[in-house]
Formats: sequence, C-alpha cells, structure tokens
Amino acid sequence: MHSKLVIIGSGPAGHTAAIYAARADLKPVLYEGFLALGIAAGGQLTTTDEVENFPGFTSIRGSELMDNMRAQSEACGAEIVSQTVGKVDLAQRPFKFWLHPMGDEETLEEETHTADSIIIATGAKARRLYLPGEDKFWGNGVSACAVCDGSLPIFREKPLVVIGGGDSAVEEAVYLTKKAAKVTVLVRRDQLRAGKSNARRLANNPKVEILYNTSPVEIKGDEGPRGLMKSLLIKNVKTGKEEEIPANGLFYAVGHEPATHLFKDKLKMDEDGYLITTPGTTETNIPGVFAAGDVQDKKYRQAVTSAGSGCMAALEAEKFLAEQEDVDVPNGIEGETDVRKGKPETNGDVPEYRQNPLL
Amino acid sequence: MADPLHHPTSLSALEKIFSNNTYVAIDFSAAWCGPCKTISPIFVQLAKKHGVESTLAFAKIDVDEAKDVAQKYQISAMPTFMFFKEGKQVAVNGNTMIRGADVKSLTAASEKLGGLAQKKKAGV
Repeated sequence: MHSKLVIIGSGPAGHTAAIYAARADLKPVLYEGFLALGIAAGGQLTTTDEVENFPGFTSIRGSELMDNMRAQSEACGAEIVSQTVGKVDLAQRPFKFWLHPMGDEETLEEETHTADSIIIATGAKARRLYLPGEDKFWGNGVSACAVCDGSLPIFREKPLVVIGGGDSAVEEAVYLTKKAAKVTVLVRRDQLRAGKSNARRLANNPKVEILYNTSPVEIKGDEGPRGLMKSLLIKNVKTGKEEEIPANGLFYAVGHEPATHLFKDKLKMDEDGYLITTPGTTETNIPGVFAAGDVQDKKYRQAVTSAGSGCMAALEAEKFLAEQEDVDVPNGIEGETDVRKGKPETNGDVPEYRQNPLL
Repeated sequence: MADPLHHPTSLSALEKIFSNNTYVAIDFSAAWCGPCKTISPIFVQLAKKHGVESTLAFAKIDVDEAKDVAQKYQISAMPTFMFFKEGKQVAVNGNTMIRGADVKSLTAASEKLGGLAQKKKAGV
C-alpha cells in the first residue's frame, strides 16, 4: 500500500498529527501498533490513571483520553491500522516499511508498504534497572507502573518502595499511599529532582519516608513460581551501609527509553537514543521524515507538548508534500514517476515556523 | 452465541462455571489495563472458535469486581490467563498460566484446550 503520509505511533503526538493531516486531505494512515513494546495502542497514557493537567479536562482517565483521540482521528478521516511497524527503509523516497503480523513481533509480513512522508511518534517506555531478583519477582511485586499495579491485592496495606527522584516518582509514590501501609522513596542523590510543590506534597505525606543517597541492591522474597517479593536490600551510596527493608512492592520511576530501535543507523539520534530534530521544528536529518512527541523530547515529555509537536509535524509534512508536487503536471503527483521540486508555495496560507515560541 | 464469555463476579459464581464445564479458560483483567483491552477481542474470538457447551468455557474476570477471586488466585499482573480442568488449575503447553498479553501463547493454549474439549465431547 502506498500513502502520502504515514504516522507511526498512537499517543497524543500521533493522533494530533493524524487529525491535522486528515483535515488537510492528506489521507494519513496511522499505525497504532499491536502491543508494541508491550504497551497498548494509545501509548504511555493508557498506563496513567488520572490525567489532571491536560487543558480542557479537569480529570480524565488516561485510557479514556486516548480513546477520545483515536475516535477523533478516525472521524476526521485518518485510517488506523492495528499493527506494529517492524522495519523501515529510509534510504530514498518513497520510503519503505514492513509490518509485523498482529501479535507476532518476530516475523515480518511480505508486503512492502511505501510512503511519501513519515511522522515518527513512537514515544518512549519506562526504564527498568535489571536488579538481581527483578526478573524473578516481576509481576510478583516489581513493576514499572504504580497506577497499573498499585491497586492489586498483593500491595494493599503493605510497605511499598518507589525508586526515582523526579516528578513521576513523586506522583507515583503519592498515588500508592492511597492503598499502601507505607511508601519509601529511594532517591539516588541527596535531593529530589521533582518540582517544588510536588516534592512538598510528598514530604508532608505521613505515609511517606524519603531515603536520600540510597540505591536498591537486590529484590528478595519467597521461593517458587508464585513467590511474592518480601524485602529489598538497599545501600546508602555515600556511607556504603547496606540494610534490608520490608517491602512487598517495588515501582520504578527512573526515566524512559525512546522507542527508536527501528531507526538505528537510519536517523540521527542523541546518546540516549532520542531522535534529533532541528530546533523549533519536527524535521529529522532526512527530508520527509518528521519526529513528534516523546521520541524526540526528553525535556518536557507531557501529553500536551507531544500533542503540540504532533500538530507541528502534520503541518510540516503538509508543506513538504506540497513542495514535492509539480503543479504543472496534468495528473498531479500520481502522474510523476520521479520527484521534482515544484513551486515553493502552492498555498500562500501555509504558516512558516521559524522558531518555536515554547522552546 | 450472544456473549461467548462468562463474567463471574464472585468465587461462588466461578464455582458454578467450574461444576458446569470440564475445562475453563479465564482472562483476569481490569478496566484500566491497556494491554487487557487490546487482547480482549482476541479472547472473545478464541471463545467463539473453541468454546464447547458444558465442556470448555471461557470466562473474563474483572479483578476489581471479583476481589475474592483475584485474591484466591493471587493475581499480580494483568492480564493473566489461567486454565482449569474440573475446577483445578492445570498447565497447558507447559504453562501453568500466561502472564501478560501474549497473543501467540494464548491462541496456542486455546487451540489445545479446544482440541481436548472436542475429544471429550465426542466421547473419545
């Protein structure tokens, strides 16, 4: 299948791009992924319980917000495919890509799909520390999502631990205090990175104990396939002193990994794997390939900033496609077999983004 | 088949399903769990395809609604799929349970159970 514009990813960036692109009659196709990286279509927000800072919504469940976005994309005319993109070839235009069969991340479907432009909005995924005992107790006490798992019976009225010092860690810790007996927050450095009001809310919570300069060492618990986590060996990184604290749950809040393995050696990325875009735009180092949302943002990483960049990407893609069309060709873009640079402006209304006022 | 799935909300309701069906496949899920929603239509499809009256039942249990059931089986992550024969948990294809939205394993397990159910029904 050939598309003018393909969007890879189904979080706020992907769907906002889809909405704008569909309304610009670009007939975008959005690949929402089938449990790509183990996360449901809709992205990280599907693992967030209450979203209270997306403008226009006092409080909305993350998955509901994404359902709304998806419905809107479809209503605007975007085509949504529930498959994960498995491989891409960006060497020349039209770009090529291949899909995984649904539920199968090992094989690739034979069909080669092509696109004149691509918006990458594949997002990021929460990081794990791979501590001793982590694999053993994953799902039996260890998790990277407090909201997903915090309400489970195995954690009710029990001591829990959150690792991290940023806003996510603080918010997850506060969330867990609703059901837990106690929440211990392990902060690697001597202070929280989180914003002041968040940090204050955490420190004032009677169920919370913050341990600074402390790192986790090993996760321990009962033997056997259903053995649950029982304690955590921790270490003070300054004094070297180790101690074991009772804990029935461990939640990671230590940052994210951008989902860019598909683009390794194909697009410019920084040392953390985030795609590099020209500041103030969503342009990558390949013309026609744009990146929006968390996949190229390690600074803000908010649903609303991702949505904003998704809009930028769609507008930039629209301009890019218009520039590729030679308007003198009778059949338009379909009548051409090679791509020639046409008139720079087919529509004088297309806004120029020279500088993003937000950055 | 209007709804190919059972939706027990308590241990007693589940016991009834156990006593009425030789084999039971259960999907433990939660309303707020993304991967659960993704795999849910597949579980429904498998139920339609492999379910056999009185022999193989497919049930979906919401761990928030059926807290006693979730507690009994110590569900620690969603979705978790478990399989039962005559009310006792059994391993299918070597797995006592499938943790996470693993489409391949779930499909294979459902096919295996479906085959066993067909044989049982035919009286083999």
